[in-house]
Amino acid sequence: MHLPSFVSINRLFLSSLIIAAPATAANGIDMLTEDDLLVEIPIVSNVTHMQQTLAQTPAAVTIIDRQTIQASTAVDITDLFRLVPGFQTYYVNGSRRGVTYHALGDKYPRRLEVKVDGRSVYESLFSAVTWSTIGVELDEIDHIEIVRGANAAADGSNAFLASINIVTRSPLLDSGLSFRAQVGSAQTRNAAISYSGKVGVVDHRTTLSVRGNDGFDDGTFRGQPLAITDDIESVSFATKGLWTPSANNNIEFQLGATKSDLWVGGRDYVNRDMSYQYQYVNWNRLSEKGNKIQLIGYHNNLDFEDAVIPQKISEVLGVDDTSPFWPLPVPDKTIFDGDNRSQSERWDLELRTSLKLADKLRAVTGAAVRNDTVTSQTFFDTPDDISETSYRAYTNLEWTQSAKLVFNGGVIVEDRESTGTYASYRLAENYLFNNDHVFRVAINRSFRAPTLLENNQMRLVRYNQDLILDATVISDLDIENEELQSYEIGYAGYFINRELSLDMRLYYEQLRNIIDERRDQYPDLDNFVNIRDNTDTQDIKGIEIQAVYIPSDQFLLRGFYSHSNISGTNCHTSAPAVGEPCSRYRNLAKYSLNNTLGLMASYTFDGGLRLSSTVNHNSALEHFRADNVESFTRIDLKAAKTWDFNRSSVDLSLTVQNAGDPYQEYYQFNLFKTRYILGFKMNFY
Amino acid sequence: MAFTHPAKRLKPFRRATVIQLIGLLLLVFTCSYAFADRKTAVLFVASKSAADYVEVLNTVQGHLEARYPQGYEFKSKFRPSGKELASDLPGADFVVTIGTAAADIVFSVKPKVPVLSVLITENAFLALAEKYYGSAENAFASRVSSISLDQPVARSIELAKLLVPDARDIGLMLGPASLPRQPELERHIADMSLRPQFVSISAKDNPIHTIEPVLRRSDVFIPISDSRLINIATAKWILHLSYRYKVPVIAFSKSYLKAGALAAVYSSPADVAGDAAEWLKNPKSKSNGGLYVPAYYSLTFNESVAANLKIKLNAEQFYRDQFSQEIKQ
Repeated sequence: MHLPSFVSINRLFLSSLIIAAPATAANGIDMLTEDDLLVEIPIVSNVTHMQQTLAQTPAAVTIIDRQTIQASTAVDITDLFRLVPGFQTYYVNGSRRGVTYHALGDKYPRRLEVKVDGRSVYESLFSAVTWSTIGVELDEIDHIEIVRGANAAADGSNAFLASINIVTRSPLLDSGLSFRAQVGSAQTRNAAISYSGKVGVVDHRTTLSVRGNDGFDDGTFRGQPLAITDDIESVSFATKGLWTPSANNNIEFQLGATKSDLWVGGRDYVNRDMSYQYQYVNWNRLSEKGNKIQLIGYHNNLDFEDAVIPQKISEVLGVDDTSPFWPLPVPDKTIFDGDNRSQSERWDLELRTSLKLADKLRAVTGAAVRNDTVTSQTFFDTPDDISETSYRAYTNLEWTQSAKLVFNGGVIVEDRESTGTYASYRLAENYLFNNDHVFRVAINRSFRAPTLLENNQMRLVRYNQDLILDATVISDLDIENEELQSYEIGYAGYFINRELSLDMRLYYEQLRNIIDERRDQYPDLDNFVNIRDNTDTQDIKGIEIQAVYIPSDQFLLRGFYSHSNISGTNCHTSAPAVGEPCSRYRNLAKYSLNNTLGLMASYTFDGGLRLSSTVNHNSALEHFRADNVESFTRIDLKAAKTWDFNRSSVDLSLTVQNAGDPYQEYYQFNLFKTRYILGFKMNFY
Repeated sequence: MAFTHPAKRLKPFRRATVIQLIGLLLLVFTCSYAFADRKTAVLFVASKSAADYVEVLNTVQGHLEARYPQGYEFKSKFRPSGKELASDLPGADFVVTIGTAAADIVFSVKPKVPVLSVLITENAFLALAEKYYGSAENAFASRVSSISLDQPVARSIELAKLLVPDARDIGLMLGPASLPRQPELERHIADMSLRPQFVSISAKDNPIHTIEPVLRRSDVFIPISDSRLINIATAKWILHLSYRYKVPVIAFSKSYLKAGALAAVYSSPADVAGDAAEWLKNPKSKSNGGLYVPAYYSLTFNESVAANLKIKLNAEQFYRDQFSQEIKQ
């Protein structure tokens, strides 16, 4: 029998505590309760902005942690999403990556919110994320939280199908100087130098990096040689600072800028000079009871100019204005000689509170205002700014009804000048069969408002103010919100002393009013235009299975399988008259990426050598508005070793991406051949 | 006056005595039968019906039912009102409070039966004992006992020494509530031939700037549990700094461990229940109250952190076996 007793050490402590207790009470300090001792240290926060464990979250979550990032064969952030079920990651060209979840992956994949430390990097001007400008180095990522499923109830309109939060490393985690470099195939040339230290009361990490590659090798298109000019060269500067004026207050700030010189397009490439900068501040205040209030403000600015070569109309048409086939009533002239500069700017301010309302009830409530402004003669046919201010207010509640039942409910109300006021919500119930097995059912009703580009696009080639030579894309005047109704059943299980975790998600997503393009007649040279409008309907059904096995610190195994089916239509051609149904539909089923499989294994030997491999299989796919690509299996390999010296370390790695036959990326002529990347890293503490 | 034969006079006396004796025997028999069959009534009063509280309650019941299948009867109340409690107390032989709020309610009515408080910190128990009984000693005299939730720091210090045998400097963070422990801790650490490096922090201090110099020169760092604000507000920075300077952290909760500490010594609900069941089973423990250190404890390690710090971990039992006799279970 082990009766608790006054052992000597306890007498020692007790004697002082008996004396101390009245003193502390007299000092007005609250007594310590079991809540102080059992307090949860945050684990996952992206889903509801509440600190929750995976068993409590109302959605499926994949966490790419530091261990996985270091062991992975990724050379770029987007490579990491090849480890996430339901995600498609592809190269539109060497300078542009596409990442999408479930939805059709086109050149500018939308419907996915991407944040860096809570700052949205989704660009209104492209209705997509420009991965090359976000300026985050792989080595500076602490972890990535990926919510698989709509997260609009917490993140707003753009977290329509999924949401990603890239959490960068705290400046406190590192010290001293770090130099990193990668060289290899496709003229890959990446280097970064960063310093972590202190300036006065601020801890910071400051990084200067350059990244570049020459993209895909020249290929062929319809039997003809094709010069692929899709290289990119970018220079980034980023600093992350942390100031903790008191225990219950901390302020984090970030500044960054990226300057890129890249080529964009497919088959025809245009040089783009792009600048991106951001400023971010996040003030956190903790209350005595552990409640939190946050004020988050940021500003993003994207500015680019395309080096479009002015051309004569006759050169474009291949007809001289003296020819009887000259189609215009006006003489030849030089076009594409106007302003090719575009700009996108975002200001966002959010106030958020995390409260424990009762023993079993927690809430995160927030209110925010955002202003987006875009300017582009090319995209909007006007030199004027186009601006929109939107407001959002949300609350997410977690009610632990019993030890076995957790309910989550969230609602967000958004107000925009373009589409008025609307509300998205999510309801979820987690049933904890026991600590190791959790079942989840959830429903989502979400809306996605059209971006400034989708709402205002007017892409025209003009002869003058009165004569339009070619209308490429024009936005319909009354585009409505996209709508999603989704249902999911989830399961999270832990086995073998929690060394093995299993996550399954069975889902059904009904997407309505999806914004795409329909072809319509237009009085220009080719007599048609694409009208951006609510043209698509999609039903997506599928299953995702993810397993992570970490039997020891030396061995890591991650795997997933995803199956999805899209059924739906796109209105390809407008009806002959307003009010009539679409005259030609396109079946969207063939654009569905039906099966993806991924497996990553990593083993670290006692001497410090780490071997990793990743296998990815994608079924055949016809990319929406691009090419059919065949199914492929890609195998990546990596060997890395670290040597520790006194106050310094050296890390060498060799990564082989696609150690097999070339496969196609987005366009048939984008052939991803075997790439060898040599990595070198030195740290001085 | 009538003369009565003594024998005759005795007869009614004998008859009455016999009847009385038989009655007494019957009474003794029925009482002893009743007492023999009567189960010990344990009244559980929990602060709330959250998972940890329910687990403690169920596990204590499970322990006692397994050992004495017919010995106990249980009644459970979750944060009852004073009136509700007053109606349940008369039938109880023991009261077990689970959580601080439950202790607060029960102490306020000063039950006549022995009381055991669990899932409560030493700090909270002593504050409540003073509030309702005038002092801890008075509470003990009223047969009020507590098994504290917080583990003795000595376990963490010895574990630190076992995990980092070359350690010389042990860093300890104290908050406003734990600051009075410093002299005792200092003596204990010195007894182990270690050098204590204390850092005290309040809500007004800059946590990074206060903690960093001490953590940096420590071989192992032990944050002492304090108020929720201090615990939450410092945990993240302590763990980040510990990663930066490769200084292992010995934590006081499983949650802290998962967030990045090397090891944790803490009382799990099962440990709390184990201690409570032992107390209930031991008749000596009810004659006088007392404040007891938990005999049971959980010892867990974060293998990823150990690998990062290049610390080779042994099996949990190794460390339990190596603990000095006075802090062993």
